[in-house]
Amino acid sequence: MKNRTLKTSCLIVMIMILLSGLSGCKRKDPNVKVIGISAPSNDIQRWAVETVQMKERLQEKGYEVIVQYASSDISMQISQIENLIAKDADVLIVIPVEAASLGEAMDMAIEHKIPVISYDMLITNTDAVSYYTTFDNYKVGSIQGQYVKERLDLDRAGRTYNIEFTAGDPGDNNAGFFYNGAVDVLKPYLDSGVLRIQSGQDSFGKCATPSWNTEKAQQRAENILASYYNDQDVDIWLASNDTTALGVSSALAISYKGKYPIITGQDCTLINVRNILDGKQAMSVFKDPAMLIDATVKMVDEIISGQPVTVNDTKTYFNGIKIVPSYLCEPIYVDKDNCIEILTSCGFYTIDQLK
Amino acid sequence: MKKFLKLYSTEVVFAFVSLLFIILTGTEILRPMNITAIFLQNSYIFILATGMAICMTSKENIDISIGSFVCFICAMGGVFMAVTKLSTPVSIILLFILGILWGLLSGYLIAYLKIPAWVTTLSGYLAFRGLGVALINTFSSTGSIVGINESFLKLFSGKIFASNIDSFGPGSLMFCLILAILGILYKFYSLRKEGSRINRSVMIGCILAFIVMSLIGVSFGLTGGVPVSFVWMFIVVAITAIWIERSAEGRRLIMLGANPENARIAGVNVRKAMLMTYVFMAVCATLTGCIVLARFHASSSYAGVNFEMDTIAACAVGGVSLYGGKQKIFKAILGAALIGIINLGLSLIGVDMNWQWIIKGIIIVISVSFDMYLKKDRYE
Repeated sequence: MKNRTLKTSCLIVMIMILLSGLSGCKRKDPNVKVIGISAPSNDIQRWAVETVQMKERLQEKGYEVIVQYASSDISMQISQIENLIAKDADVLIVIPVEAASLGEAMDMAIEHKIPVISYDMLITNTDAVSYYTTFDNYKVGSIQGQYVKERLDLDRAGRTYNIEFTAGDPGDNNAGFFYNGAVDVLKPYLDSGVLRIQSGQDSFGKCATPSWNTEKAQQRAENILASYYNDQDVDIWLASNDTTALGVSSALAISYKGKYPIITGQDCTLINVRNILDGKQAMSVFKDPAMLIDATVKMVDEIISGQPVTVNDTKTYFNGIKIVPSYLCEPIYVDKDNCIEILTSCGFYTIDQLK
Repeated sequence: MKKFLKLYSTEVVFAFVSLLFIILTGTEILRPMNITAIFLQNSYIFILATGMAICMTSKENIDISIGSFVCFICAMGGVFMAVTKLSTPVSIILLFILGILWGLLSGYLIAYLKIPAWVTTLSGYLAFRGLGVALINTFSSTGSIVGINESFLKLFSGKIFASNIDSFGPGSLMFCLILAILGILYKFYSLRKEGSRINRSVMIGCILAFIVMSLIGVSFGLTGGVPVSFVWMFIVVAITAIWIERSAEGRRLIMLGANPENARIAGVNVRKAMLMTYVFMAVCATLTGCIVLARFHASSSYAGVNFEMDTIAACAVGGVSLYGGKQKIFKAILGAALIGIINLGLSLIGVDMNWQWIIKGIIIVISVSFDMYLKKDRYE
């Protein structure tokens, strides 16, 4: 008898729980717009810092913000994006763990007509991406090229300079933009013979560094130095970013006795900024995350209020399915003279870190 | 009371954890889109747990290679379809041949050469992850192979009985109700064959199943259709349940699970039966690989990460290794649903990933301890 009562009550409770599922209708206040942010992981410092700043900025504007970190797991990120959609997100900001594999989650965004902003890493293999915010990657390369051009005053150079290139990861969509940006500025001088590549390694493929790996960049630089620069100086070493620049400067320290070259870089990694202060690297391109966050927040505002969205590039970023309208932020460079002022005034580093 | 708990311990744990998450998410987990998400996002656990329940029938059998094997199948699928441009049916056949070959190899090593299961499948765990990533890196410089056939994507992902998300799609509800009715009829049929009577607890089970299925159907109808992965999941579970209960091989497996010594004396070819379970597990992993590949729309080196852990967890909370009976498949499914609810619930609450693992671990150890405590006298 007791047993039967128990069973029946269990049954009734379960039915009630299940039935309440039917009543689970839209719960949110339609006046508060929800912004979902999906990031790869909060173990990666950059994403942890930038997502938190972005969240604060959006909350100040009165949005409800939900941030989810996928612990670098694609399945998890797909599920999290689906769950953000289920939580009635009005706009999604996504930094993909892996650019091409968000498949069904992106299909669901299309189905629910939710705009997706791809933040700094372009989501590929889908037409769900509405907008892309990033730094002008071509410009990063141009700035490096321009810096070299101005430092050596190539237009009025009375001699030839030796230059070597170290490019980025062939798997990174942006690495080609960096390389081409720099080469396009220097092309006239390479053609006229003012700049000479002694190693003859003059294409992205030949100069690429898998995974932007410092040791691989160092190995390649050591080989070039041993083969071509025993009895002459290398004047410029155009490295696409800081990790590869670090490899180049280590190689120079070990196996090079000549005049120290101009080395370029990108990202203002702490160790490289210290190298700039020590004169071991000439410059680094600085991409202020605050600018990217500003641009993204503005874009969210424009989407929500139904205004036309500000983009400044509608033909460069093809994701395999469509050309994604993009907003490209302007990078700037820092060198020995201005790096402390620029990097500390925006709070990127503290004075103590740079000493 | 204790007798009831003993019989239905998994169900009680399931109800308790569900209730917990319903409260913690403020009933959000019960919204139709989230009910759908339990199946859409966790179909891999359901399919793999079914395979694992069969695999873990007899003592010391386990397969921890499945997550990596899923990654390998994804990579091979990408190679077949995007690189060598094979047609969808040919690719699928080749993938399943690969699955069966791995099942035969691992099963042979374990059952005939007596190499411990965890050693053999640990090798698979390491080798297939490496192989999958190496393949993807060989054929692509971006860490993923894109360009999977459209027909393949349709077959393993997306929705059937698709309807507009703003309105209700009655097709999905009808489909689920038909599945429920077929399931109940099968239950009656098999009880009748065994000569048992349809008692109250069977009736209650059937009514519950019917209600659950109709709610799932309503949820699917409100969220744009039945996920294809749910259909695959249902097919795997149904075929497995019928195979285990109806076929001679299935009965041998049950005997093997209940008592290997008795099974041997009764003339069961234990080694062959064991080999079969690994082949079956590998086939389930292959199907999961196809579903994951279609879900990603690309071969990714991230496919299948930690799948073996969620699967073993599902079997553990489902009490699989503690039983030798035929209820196991159902228990494994319940365990899989439980892990699915935990995954979804924690994601909805927005718990930090590291804490998600901690909480998952705690829930698993509590539920298994509860189960063991209740059954203590039976096993001592």
